[in-house]
Amino acid sequence: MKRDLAGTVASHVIVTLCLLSWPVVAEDTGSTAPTSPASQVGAQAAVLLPTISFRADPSGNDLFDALQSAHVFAHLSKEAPGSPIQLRIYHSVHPAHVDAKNFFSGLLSVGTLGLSPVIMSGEHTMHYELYVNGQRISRYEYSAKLSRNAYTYGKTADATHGLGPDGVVWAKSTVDLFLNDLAHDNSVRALNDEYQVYFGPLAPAAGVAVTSQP
Amino acid sequence: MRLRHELVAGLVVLAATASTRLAADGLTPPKDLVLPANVAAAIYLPKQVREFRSVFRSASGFQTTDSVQLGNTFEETTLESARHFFNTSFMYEAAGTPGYGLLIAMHPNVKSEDRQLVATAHYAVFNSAGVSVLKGDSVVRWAPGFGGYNSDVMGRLTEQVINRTLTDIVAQLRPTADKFPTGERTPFNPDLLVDKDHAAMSGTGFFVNSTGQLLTAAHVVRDCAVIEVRYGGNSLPATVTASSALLDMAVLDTHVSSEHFLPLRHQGRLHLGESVANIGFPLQSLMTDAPTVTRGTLSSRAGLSGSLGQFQFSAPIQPGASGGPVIGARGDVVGVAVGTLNAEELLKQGVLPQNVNFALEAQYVQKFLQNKAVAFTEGAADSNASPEVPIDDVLPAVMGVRCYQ
Repeated sequence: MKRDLAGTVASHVIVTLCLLSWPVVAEDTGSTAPTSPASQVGAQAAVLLPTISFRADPSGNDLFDALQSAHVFAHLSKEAPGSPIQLRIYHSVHPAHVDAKNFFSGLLSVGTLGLSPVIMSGEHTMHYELYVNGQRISRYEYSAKLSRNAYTYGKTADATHGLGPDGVVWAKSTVDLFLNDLAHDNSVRALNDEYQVYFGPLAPAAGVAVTSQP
Repeated sequence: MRLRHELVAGLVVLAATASTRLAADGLTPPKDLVLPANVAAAIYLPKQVREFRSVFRSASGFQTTDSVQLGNTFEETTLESARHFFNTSFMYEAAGTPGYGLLIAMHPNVKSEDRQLVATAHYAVFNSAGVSVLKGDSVVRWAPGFGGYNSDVMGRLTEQVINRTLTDIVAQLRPTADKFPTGERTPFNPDLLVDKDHAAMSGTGFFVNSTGQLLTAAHVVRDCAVIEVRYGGNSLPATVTASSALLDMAVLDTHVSSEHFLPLRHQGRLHLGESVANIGFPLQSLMTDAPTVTRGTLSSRAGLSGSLGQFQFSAPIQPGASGGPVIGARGDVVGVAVGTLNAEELLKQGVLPQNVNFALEAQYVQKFLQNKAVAFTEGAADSNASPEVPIDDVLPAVMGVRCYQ
């Protein structure tokens, strides 16, 4: 019976992750997450994880190249369904309350401009989760308050997946934060150690430096 | 004095808020009942339920969007609701839980029934001495109306079934500090907390030595409050003594000696096309406690792209076969069944896979056991291969594994 519950939710999440899109444009951004110098990311260079299956929603999918260029994720792959290790990335938003000001501003737009307004602001979060055979070993979340005032004329595709141009920049900035946090993650280091016990040292991916940055 | 007035006013508002929320859910605790009750309540939820979090499409402004929004976890919702009923409430942990006056074990689930979502919570309540004081079920139904599923339906349903359960409990027990004083923290029999009618997970295991240690898949025994090994109608309690999420392997200890245990393939050598048999206890909720034997071949030395240390075999397997031995033509273990292709997903792409199953190679099983200092034996290097995999001597060493939460 409990598996009914778990199964229902899991499939819902998977479907959600695959199909997300949100056609709005960001107007203003403000990140609550601190930025980290790229040099700090070098600390995790000693760890090289084996083939990792990459699974993400459209917002997370845009971060693939940046992640794969990092030493630890040199073997990150979109086509490794058998890998016991999976990196899941997705974006969520907790919309701000629609207050009277927003409500009447929306009515005004409808009445005077004939536009269908979508006035949304809220806390956006990029979620990074690392799983090993279905067991989550690490989870990181980075949030920022993004406020937007977007006008949609129809169901046009949004290349920013609901983040807006500034939100996309912010989302990409979370990659460095994630890599920096991962560099100090004992679970990841233990995973790397265990891999070597059973399968030996991992060959670096072509074109990827194996030495740490100074 | 002014501070006191503000405090009283705040409490009135808080109480009014709680009663309003409950009333909105159609719940009416007895009017003479003072809530929150002056009782410390520990709440047990199955691990897989605690972290359950509703996910729904975000609605904002004038438009429902495709953006995903996350609701609270079941644990967060439970604790938020419980504080309206008890002046102290916290999650029950196997170790480290403070003393309590009531221990409430809740087993919620949601299923779809006649176009309705039906949330049910089976509950059992114990006092601080571990004595059962109440059992029951609470049910909440929800039918999609305006807005359909584009809101936190699961979150609201979760909140309602928890509120319903706690309302039922306080209405029947009318708890007070005098009736249910907080007792010292004492070890609690986990068998009383788990849902023994429905295993959270089931799989297969087999003895690897004479000391009662058996091997199974790690995902079968993850987050279990109680593990039972079943064979021939008997149950043995078991505990996890070693595990590897990477290899998906776990060693269970039953603390009973066994003259039946299985040798692993000498040096783990695989022979493509070799006859193999898989022994398992699939579909344990439907079948009796008897092993199922299926036959096939070792069909590929490699698993899916990206897999580690796996080979492919064609002997059919069903849910519950995880952890079962794949027996080679010499009667030794060539691998441990750990997975199969997801036929349902592939069918959506127009592909119907047949008997594409995966096992961890014996050489990695051996490395795992060596790494964890678990004794095992290897089959003879020069033993003869039989045209048909011998299984009569193997069966007594294989058993069903059930995980309860």
